[in-house]
Amino acid sequence: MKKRGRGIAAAIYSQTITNLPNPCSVNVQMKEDGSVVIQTGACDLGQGSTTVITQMAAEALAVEFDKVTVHTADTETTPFDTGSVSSRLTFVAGRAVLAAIEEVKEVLYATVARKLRVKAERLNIKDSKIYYIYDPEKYMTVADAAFEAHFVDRKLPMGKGEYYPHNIPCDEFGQGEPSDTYYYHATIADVEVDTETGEVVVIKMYTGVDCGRAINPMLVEGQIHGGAIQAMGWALREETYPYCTNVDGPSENFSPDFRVTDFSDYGMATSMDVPEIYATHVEALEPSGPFGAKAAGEITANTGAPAIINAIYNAVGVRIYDLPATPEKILRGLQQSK
Amino acid sequence: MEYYQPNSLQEALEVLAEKKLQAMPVAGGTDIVVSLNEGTLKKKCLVSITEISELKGIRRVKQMISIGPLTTFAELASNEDLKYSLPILPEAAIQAATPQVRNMGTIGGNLGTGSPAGDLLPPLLVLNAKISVASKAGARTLTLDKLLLGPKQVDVTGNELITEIVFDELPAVAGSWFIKLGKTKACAVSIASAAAVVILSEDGKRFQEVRVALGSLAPTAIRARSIEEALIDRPIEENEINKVIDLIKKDISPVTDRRATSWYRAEVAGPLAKKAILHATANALSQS
Repeated sequence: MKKRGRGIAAAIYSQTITNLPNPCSVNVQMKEDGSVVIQTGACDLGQGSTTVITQMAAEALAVEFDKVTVHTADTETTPFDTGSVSSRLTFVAGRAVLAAIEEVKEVLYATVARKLRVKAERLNIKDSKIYYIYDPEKYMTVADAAFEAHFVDRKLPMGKGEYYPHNIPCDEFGQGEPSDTYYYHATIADVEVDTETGEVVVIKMYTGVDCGRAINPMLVEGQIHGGAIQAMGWALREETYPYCTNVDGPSENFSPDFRVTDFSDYGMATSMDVPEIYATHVEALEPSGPFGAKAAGEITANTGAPAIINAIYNAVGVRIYDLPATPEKILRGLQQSK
Repeated sequence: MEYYQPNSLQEALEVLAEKKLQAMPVAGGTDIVVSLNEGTLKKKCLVSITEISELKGIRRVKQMISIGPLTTFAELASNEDLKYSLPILPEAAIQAATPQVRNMGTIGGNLGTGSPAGDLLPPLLVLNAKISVASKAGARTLTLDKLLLGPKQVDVTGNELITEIVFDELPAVAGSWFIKLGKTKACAVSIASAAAVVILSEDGKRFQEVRVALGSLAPTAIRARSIEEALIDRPIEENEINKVIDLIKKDISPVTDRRATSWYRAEVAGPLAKKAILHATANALSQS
């Protein structure tokens, strides 16, 4: 017989490395044609941080997206970053980029203020223009300002930015402020359990993250999908004992001879195993975040597994306490509850 | 390592005879390349049989179906005639491995490797398939259950090649089904599998004949004879199957490996066999 159940789980998660200093540094230079070159150690390993940094720089300097080039993660030439870890890059690299851009804007504004004969603090930047806020018809294009700064004012529009996430390391009693800010995630999972074989099919996952401003909603959705699938594999299948020599595995007669040492039996979900995923994000703007953004990374894998485990309990009354919830564990649970 | 690529069956058998058991025939290579990479293949030369046209193709001869051993899983899965007349084979073929492996792996290789988890073996067992093998000295034909000797041991000697797989068409009031339990829905070696052929009585209310075969539940793919005998002439009802399904424990001798424990395999053997029989019965009823 097949029985269906629904489970829900929610999580709070730290972004930026907890308890430790983890700075990011950035150089930004606007060239004489108004194009922008950014150097940073912040490494894009597929999650899209370079895209997000480019978007934020383009927005802050009011230039088009394709005017911005980002050079990352070359230890010979790029300034220091702690790493693409702890869901930190959008937030930390974003803050560092914006800090550097403030210095670039200072140079540009000085040039425009001189040219337009207005005070620099009464200028604003939008749509590739730097304009007088009381009369937007008085403006210079960003590219003209950059050229003028280079060759008339002899000031280069360059800036360096850094950001140290704020944290107070926890003391011996576990008291402190481990992380700069926190982000949130929840999943609802619908499953179908075969009571004769213990097999679990995940039918649907509804999963959402509070990531502050979604700088790139499509990348956020990609993270949510990836996290959901990772969580599902973790909840139901993925298991390995690659380095143990004397460990009893998931059941009493499981011997180390049967260690899973390659991917063929590891059990990563295939496209045939992936359920319908309804991804959503909530934009509760973070006051300290760049453009109100927080993270959308690791947490997306955090609530899928407990939601699925709760759904299995809801379906057949079997409570699994160690992952993965293999068909065997569920079948044993079903027989014990008889 | 030496490598030969004969163009005819005769030529291939001559090379095999000449190499005196030091040669390994290779078709799709989906098992052999793995053992080459692992360094476990103890042979001195490879004989590629992929260019031998006599060993290819699916043919229908009167009431018989003949399958060439070089037929790939992908060809089995997409054969329109089989899909209509005998869906159990395409079903089993499409559930095996991944598209890449299905494009290369062959039915002859699945038989020759003789893994207890070979996905095509339970369906061929319930189809009462006969396997022809040939060497330079001559040819012989044996039933599949005789071919399978043990885990990855088959009754094909080093100088022989599998040349044909033959079985009878099913009668009009018959149905078949294959079901597989794997860790994932694709790209999985089976934890357990079951195939069933059900032939109904003329009035369509009783089992005239039930054939059940199981994979990954014994040293080889096996027939579940105890259940087959117990179901003859029984009414086609789920309860009747429930009454006898525990007999399956007499037929199986599952092991614990990294995919599942013997306990789990023994527990799911009955339910899997029942599902296969019920689906096959439904197919038979929809045909009559």
